[in-house]
Amino acid sequence: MSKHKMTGKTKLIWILLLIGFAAMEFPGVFFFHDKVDPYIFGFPFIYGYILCWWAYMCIILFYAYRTRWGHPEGEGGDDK
Amino acid sequence: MTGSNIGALVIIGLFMLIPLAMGAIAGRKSIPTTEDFFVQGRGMGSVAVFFTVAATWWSAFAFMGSNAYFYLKGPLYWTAIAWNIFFGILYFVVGKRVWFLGKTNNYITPKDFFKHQYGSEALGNIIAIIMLLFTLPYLQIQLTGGAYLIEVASGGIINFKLAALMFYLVIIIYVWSGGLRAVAWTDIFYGILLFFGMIYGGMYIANLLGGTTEMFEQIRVLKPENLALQENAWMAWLAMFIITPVGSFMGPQLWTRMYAVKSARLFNLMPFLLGLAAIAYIGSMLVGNSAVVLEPGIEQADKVLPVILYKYAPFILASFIIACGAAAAMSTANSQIHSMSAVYTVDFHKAYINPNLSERKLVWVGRWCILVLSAIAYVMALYVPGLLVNIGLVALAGTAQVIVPTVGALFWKKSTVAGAISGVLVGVILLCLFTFVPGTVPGPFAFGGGGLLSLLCNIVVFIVISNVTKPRSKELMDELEKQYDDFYAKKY
Repeated sequence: MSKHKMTGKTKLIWILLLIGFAAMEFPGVFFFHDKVDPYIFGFPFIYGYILCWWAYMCIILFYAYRTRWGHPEGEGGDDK
Repeated sequence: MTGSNIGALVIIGLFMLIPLAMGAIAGRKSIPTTEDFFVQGRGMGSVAVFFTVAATWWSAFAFMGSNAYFYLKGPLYWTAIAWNIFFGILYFVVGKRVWFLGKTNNYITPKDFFKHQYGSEALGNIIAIIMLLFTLPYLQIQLTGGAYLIEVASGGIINFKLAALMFYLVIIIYVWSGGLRAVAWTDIFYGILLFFGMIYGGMYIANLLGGTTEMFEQIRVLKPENLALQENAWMAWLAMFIITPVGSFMGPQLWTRMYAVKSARLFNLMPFLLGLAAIAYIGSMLVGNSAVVLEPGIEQADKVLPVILYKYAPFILASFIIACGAAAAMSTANSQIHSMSAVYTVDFHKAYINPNLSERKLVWVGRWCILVLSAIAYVMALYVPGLLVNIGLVALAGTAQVIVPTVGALFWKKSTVAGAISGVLVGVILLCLFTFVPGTVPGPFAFGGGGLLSLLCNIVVFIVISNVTKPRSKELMDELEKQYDDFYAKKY
């Protein structure tokens, strides 16, 4: 059903989000799951590692909102 | 019962009375129509939507179950940070389209969506039944969580059965009085309490042990396995990341919150707001981990939060945070009861039992339905044991099955009724098998991935059967095509 053409900015947002999800779900679990050190922000490694990616994702999501998820001015969610 | 216990119950009682007053005011504003009672006339503003979605999404599962998981299994529940963001993304991608189609076609319940999009009453009924069946255990854990809080706050004088009964009477009164408007108003109140209660409570308890680093150093000595994920935990980590947000998002209470939204713009903002709010889990993480040092022998892990707070935090602070916990459970429970009542009233009572019932009488059927569903959940809370998170995960894996035909309807022209029905049935049957006979879960899925496996099988069956069965009618596809064109033309 989807005929929506993605803009370059929209594609970039989705790629950055996918990188974030992949980093939170895969490397963290497969490669660092038994790491306790180094502590990050006073937390054991896995906690601090996820918090760093959380901050990254929040920045991307805020950017996505500000740019109407990559749509030009006046599009992408303005009230109709 | 000591003076402190009485004081704690008075504080919790007051927290229940304030939203009750809101419910009464909301009740006066309501119009006796099903659209107003169930989807607030599709006029819910941005602030109310965010808080009602967040408060409905954060339940006893999050507020109490998370503490128990951090206490028992270390960082496994920390995948919640990612699943909160994923939930927000689902709200943006799927929610906005469902909202648009709901507004265009006047959908009130989830069944309306499937019945129209697939042109099949049978599929709509199957989805409605799955939602009702699998929302009940999720409702049960809200009741259980709330009852634990009251039981601990009273020093055990009010037993679990009575505490659960008290908890539900208040919820029934709210929902009975004002429909979705009452639920949304009370959720704003609850949402604010929840966010600050979770973070502040965790920081306070961790500071008793000398701060976070010092607390974790003590765990390194006492229970080092709690500082890292266990072997094979990756499956549960991944399964929870997918099943929890998808299952919750597909619950009838969240469908109602998609239909009720006034402006499309909010859907763009929700991923950021929900992602940001995920930081509140830091509070549960700190409480659960601190409890490993402070109280290593708690038998019922779901009581970690109230036990630790009443023992180690100042009385007023403990009661305030416990009231927040009651709020978490109550806000989800009232939303669930309300939406389940909508499903029964509109999808079954109006459709099959009494199609000529007036709008006013239908609202009354909805209210009586609220009473009956609450009673069922109450009985389940008394007789179905288990950790809150474990019961919740089964319930969520059930409603998660609905995402397959939903995404199929929105994004894949080849989706067919036969594919959708066979997919969800295979998914639900496998989930039941994996739940009641855990030994049947194969390979790595045996480590907490039964729900995920059932969802994957649902997807495979859906795609295969849709490819070999009769497509949806041309008339229906033309009609839907026009609506999707309209959606993209308006550039929502």
